[in-house]
Amino acid sequence: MFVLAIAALAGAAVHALAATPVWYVVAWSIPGVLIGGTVGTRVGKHVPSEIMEPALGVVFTLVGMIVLGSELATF
Amino acid sequence: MVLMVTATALAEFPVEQFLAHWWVFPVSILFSMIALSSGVSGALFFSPFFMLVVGLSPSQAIGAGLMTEVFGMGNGLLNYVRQRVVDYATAKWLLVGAVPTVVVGAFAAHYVPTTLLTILFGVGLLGLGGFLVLYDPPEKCVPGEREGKYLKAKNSGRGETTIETTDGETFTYDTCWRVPGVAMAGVGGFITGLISAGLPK
Repeated sequence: MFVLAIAALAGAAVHALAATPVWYVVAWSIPGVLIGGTVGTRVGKHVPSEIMEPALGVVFTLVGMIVLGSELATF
Repeated sequence: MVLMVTATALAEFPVEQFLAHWWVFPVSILFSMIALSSGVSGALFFSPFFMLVVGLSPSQAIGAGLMTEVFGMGNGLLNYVRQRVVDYATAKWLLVGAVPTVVVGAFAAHYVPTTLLTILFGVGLLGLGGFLVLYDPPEKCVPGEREGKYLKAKNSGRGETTIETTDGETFTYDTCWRVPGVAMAGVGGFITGLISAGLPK
């Protein structure tokens, strides 16, 4: 998590400098993650990873198919 | 001068658009709860949400996802630093690989054609989904159980790493050969900068 946080900071800084950030969206998402993150660290230890990870895998697979499908449909 | 710049920035802030997107707030709470409790990168939830639901372009969505992730992970990061559970000796090498490549990937995201970026992101999500479904969670894995003879030989004789936490707990494990870790951190960093996902796995 330490490495990911530093790397994400570097990536976010580049995006902030290279383009116009969508502050009107990020201004809502940042307070949301601060609240959700505090709750999530307490909830997480009660959810078995053998249930959580496959469930998330299915969700990401479905979202990936939707993203690809919506892009390929424009061809 | 600072006040003038701040006042100008505030005057240019799109208030109507900001208020119209209030629903991003409760969705962000839900996504970050799931991300923090599962250990999966938060940007993986936010980037497709920003693209498909909010309607941002892929590069905007990836940038916004990364920015959101920085704040979301910051709290957890501070806790780990305070508890002294961070293996800085390993982390600094991983950062040597990850930070330059995440910068390159983040710049590249603004020059890669939108269609290609979206397809790469979709393929990345499919790959990650398959990985989460097919591979065992970390708690069920034994370190080094899938090493071949070459890696076993390279990982031997490099001493041990010991982490002592603030509550007196001690973690000791073999120090591994750094090169594969740095290489994978470099690849993961580039993909993270490009599509906001890849470094954790």
